[in-house]
Amino acid sequence: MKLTAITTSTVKEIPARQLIAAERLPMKIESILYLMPLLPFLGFLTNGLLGKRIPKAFVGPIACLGPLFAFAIAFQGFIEVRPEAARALSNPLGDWMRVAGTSVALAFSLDKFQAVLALVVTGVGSLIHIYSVGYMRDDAGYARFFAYMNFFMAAMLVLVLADNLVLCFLGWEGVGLASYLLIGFWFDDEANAAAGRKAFVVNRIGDFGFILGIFLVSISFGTVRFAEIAQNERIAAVAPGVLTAIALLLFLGATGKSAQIPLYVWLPDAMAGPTPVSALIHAATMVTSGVFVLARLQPIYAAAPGAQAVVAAIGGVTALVAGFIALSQFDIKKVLAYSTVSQLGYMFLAAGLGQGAVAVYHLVTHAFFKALLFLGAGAMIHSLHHEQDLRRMGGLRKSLPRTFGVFLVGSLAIAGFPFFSGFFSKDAILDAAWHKGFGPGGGAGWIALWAVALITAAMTSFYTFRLVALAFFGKERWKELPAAHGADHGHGDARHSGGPAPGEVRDAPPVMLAPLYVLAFLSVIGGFIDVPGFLTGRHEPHGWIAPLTGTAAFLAGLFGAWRFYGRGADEERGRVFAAAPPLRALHALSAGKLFVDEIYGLCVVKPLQALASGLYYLVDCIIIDLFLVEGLGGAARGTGAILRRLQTGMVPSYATWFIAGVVAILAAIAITGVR
Amino acid sequence: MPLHLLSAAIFLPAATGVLVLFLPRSKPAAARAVSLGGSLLALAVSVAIGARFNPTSGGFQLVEEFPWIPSLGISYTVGVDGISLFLVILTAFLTPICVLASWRSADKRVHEFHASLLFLESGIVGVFLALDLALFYVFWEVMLIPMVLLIGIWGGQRRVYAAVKFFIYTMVGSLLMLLAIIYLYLHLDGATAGNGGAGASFALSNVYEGLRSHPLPAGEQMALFLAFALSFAIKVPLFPFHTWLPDAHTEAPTAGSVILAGVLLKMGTYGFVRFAIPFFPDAARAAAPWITALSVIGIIYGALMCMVQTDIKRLIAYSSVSHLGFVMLGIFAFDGKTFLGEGVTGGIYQMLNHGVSTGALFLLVGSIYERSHTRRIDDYGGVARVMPAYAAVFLIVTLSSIGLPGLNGFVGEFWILLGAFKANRLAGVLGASGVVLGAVYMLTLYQRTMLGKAGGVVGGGAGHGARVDGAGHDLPDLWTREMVYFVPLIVLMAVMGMASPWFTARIDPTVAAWQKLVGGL
Repeated sequence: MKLTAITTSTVKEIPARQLIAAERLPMKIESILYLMPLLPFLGFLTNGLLGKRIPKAFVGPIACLGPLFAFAIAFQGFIEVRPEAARALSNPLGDWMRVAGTSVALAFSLDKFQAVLALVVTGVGSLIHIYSVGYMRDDAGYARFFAYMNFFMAAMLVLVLADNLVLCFLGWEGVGLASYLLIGFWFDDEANAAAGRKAFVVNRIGDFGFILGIFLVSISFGTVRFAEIAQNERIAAVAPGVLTAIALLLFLGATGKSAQIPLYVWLPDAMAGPTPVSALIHAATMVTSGVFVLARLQPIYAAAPGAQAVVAAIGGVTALVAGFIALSQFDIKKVLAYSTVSQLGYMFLAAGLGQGAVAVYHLVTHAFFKALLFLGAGAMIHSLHHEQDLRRMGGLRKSLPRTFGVFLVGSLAIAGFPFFSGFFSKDAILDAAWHKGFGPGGGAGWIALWAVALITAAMTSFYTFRLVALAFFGKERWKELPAAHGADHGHGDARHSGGPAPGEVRDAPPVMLAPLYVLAFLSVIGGFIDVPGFLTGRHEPHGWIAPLTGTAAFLAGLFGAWRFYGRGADEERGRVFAAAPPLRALHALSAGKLFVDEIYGLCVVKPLQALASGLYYLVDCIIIDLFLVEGLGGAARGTGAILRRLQTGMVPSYATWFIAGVVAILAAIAITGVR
Repeated sequence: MPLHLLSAAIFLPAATGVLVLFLPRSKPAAARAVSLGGSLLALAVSVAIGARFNPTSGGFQLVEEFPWIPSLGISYTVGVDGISLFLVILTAFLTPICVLASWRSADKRVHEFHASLLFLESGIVGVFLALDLALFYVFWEVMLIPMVLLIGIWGGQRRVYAAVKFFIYTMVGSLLMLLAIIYLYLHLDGATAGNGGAGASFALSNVYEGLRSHPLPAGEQMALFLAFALSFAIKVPLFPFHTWLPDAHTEAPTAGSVILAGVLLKMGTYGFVRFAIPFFPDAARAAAPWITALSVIGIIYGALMCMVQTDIKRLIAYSSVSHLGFVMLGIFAFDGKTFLGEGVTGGIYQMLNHGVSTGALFLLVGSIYERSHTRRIDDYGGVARVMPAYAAVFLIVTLSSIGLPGLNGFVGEFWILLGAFKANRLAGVLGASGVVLGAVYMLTLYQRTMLGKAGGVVGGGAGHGARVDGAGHDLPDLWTREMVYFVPLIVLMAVMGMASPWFTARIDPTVAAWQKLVGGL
């Protein structure tokens, strides 16, 4: 059996190359795809190994170089892949693993989905690298930070450009490692280190499903190449039950990486990392990997409708639950984190509706406005000396006018303000849900999902403008509060103690603002890029229902937020909101994050620990050692006495004696057997 | 003109060991230098074996054969194939590292210490290269002595208990195997004598052949298989024969732990592949589901044990129970017809990976113990702040150990689990869960020792161990002597993780031939 079509060691005979050779493009973009991950990787090695020895002024530029070059290649690839109908450009570099005729190729490819993702990852990635030059300027671990960021870019590009599932898994776990390292970047704080570990372990649970899915793919398809397993003829040859199992196992992997129920719990904690990390890894790129893989493997999901329904349901419920939790958080990054979980749920809902291209559409616009929101929040946090609590903000529109401007653009985009980017992609999902629910093959369940999507849209608008109101309007509460917060505050970004002096709070330097402007621009116009049309090759006109209901949801959220938090908004207003008894219970649930971490702790972590220590003392210490081994205790003690005496003797004499003894016994018994 | 490379690989270390014993007692430095030179020379020999190895052949190569006790059919026959090649190189690679790692920490009876280490290397290499059952058994037993001495003399506080436990466990298994070997010999002798043959011989090829032409009754086959299997299972160790391991690993000096985990355990898994399965294929097939079950239990059980350990070294020791469970799972990936190539090759590859990764982990524990004289996890915290290079190395080795793709551990686990999953879905799924648990205990260890606020011995507070040096924050980062072996180890992890076909191409033909030998294809 061959896992891939590429098993020969001589490059000339590779079928995939011949396939492409007929329509080989003059640029041969496929032959330089490997440079995209390689260049950031070289940056990682440079800053990682020599970071302390090269001047600080060079560290940032070195780190930005890789992503920028990768962006140039991605841009060229995007242009070249365009005229192609569906075929991927692929170029194998050799075998990564090979056993008994089964092999996994080290091969990168570029199809339309990959081209879009590569562009987003390198584009947004480059902007965030540039922003970080300013944001991390005073950090002692400057070079280490950029080394990790470059490592992330390399791994993410392997994930995106991988020609087969196993190589994709290399990137998949690689970005997980980068995430682990960057969440725990300020590892002096035990909480940050724990958050990093939690992220890695929860992701590993997903990866457990992912790798089993890969095994099942390789056994039932005989290949792990994306281009081949997404072929309908091959899919038709696989039993439906197996397809469902594959779809669900890979989706389990996606719920880990893309923070969906039941594995989303790591993402809010991941906010312990520096804010550019939250923007790049935990909003714009890495967490969308699951959506990306599902979208690429859409034909498999189309052939497994049961699994597809599960994807839609999990996505919808996650969107709702995370949106609900985001309503009452006071840590600005936590609001954005739960918002990200919610928006990712939206994307999975689209994928579960069979609209992979629409899912990627929302992925792209989300990358723009969520990166913008995180970086904007970072600029605020930076100005306020690492204050993240919304209750200690307020009135910032006066001192941070530019930040306010771009943040408002991002907020309008995510909330679905007409003709901003989020409006289009969200409406495409609402539209798909509406048609699924009320169209043929629909039903109450699908209609409920449409309703969930709409409610989530209203929630999104509500928590976004609540955040805007609390941060930018009302009294400048940060002026009144004593400068007592800081390192003891428990927040990830709390690196400096002492609050800002009045007048010190001003907009960030140009190196941080410039990327914000670019992202703001993209957040406005991003929706006009017809991603689904590019991916599917056809343009589907939308009805009027989705834009109308979507806009209604936007307005409902906006007015709700204004009603409770607008004008002179402060903490008291939040309490008013929670005063009425039925609301109070809901508010407590939301603020307590539905107590999911506590429930997991009680139901999974504690029992596992109890089992481990129970087994250790019962089985290893008592049953085996005490009863079985010490049962031979007499012999043990006897030998021990001999041994103790021998310790004082000469080693070689003892060894000789023993060899002689063994040989003698062997000979004696054997001789008696010789007739 | 034959070079006798294999014999050189076996006896060069022992000869160096003898030489070391005759060096003047007053000069421990000389003993160290000579040991290092001898072990490096042995490494060169093993590399030469690798260079002369024909990767396309699945048979024994560089065979040397001399009659030893002709009347009994015992010969000195050694040869190398794809199964043993890298195990020999790994042994030769780890020994000079052990000498370097013990440069300062082994300070009593320096000569005897190094002699034991070198004798140990000879014994282990002999086990891997012996193609005569009697010769194999002699090496198998001989190897035991220096190991027991290393634990019992140069070990930690409970060294005598650990050494005795190790000794008893192993001897119980060995004696049963000895009886089985003799029984086997008598069976073959009787069978061939009846045919007017030249009498039985302990030569491996004769045993393989004789057992094909004169098969044993099923019951006897199973009994003999179990006798061999028990001996090997203890060495591996397979659950529930593992409780000697935490004590032995923990109490052994660093060099002992490295060799013990790095190569000695592989003698057990190697024994299954070389002897137990091809000798008694029917019994092995029948036992496969049971051994698979024990392997899976070992994977999960070992990982759970790691979660409750308070001693760094003991935690790593228990992780070996889990990792060797993977190796066994791969070797016994039997799908009802054949032992699957993915599983067997993956298992063999994982033996090497575990040797490199766990060897490196024990070296890391040795490094920090040398500085702080405590192994308690709670005595550490925030080491990364004061020893950044050490923490970076620790992280890479940890990632290798938990099977991060791109590093070596993943490749072995991938093939093993693919094979296991093909053979038995449930075993594959349960085995894969061990990968999750592996991340839990290793990253917890990393967090509690390397990350967080500087605490315990790092922050200057008193540790529980007997601290000899004064201020707690006095933890120098990796010395050059340590970098000399950590850098090649890390490079090896990356190379074995990204360029595995170079290795597996040399293992595969042998496994294919092995599958034919075992039958069922």
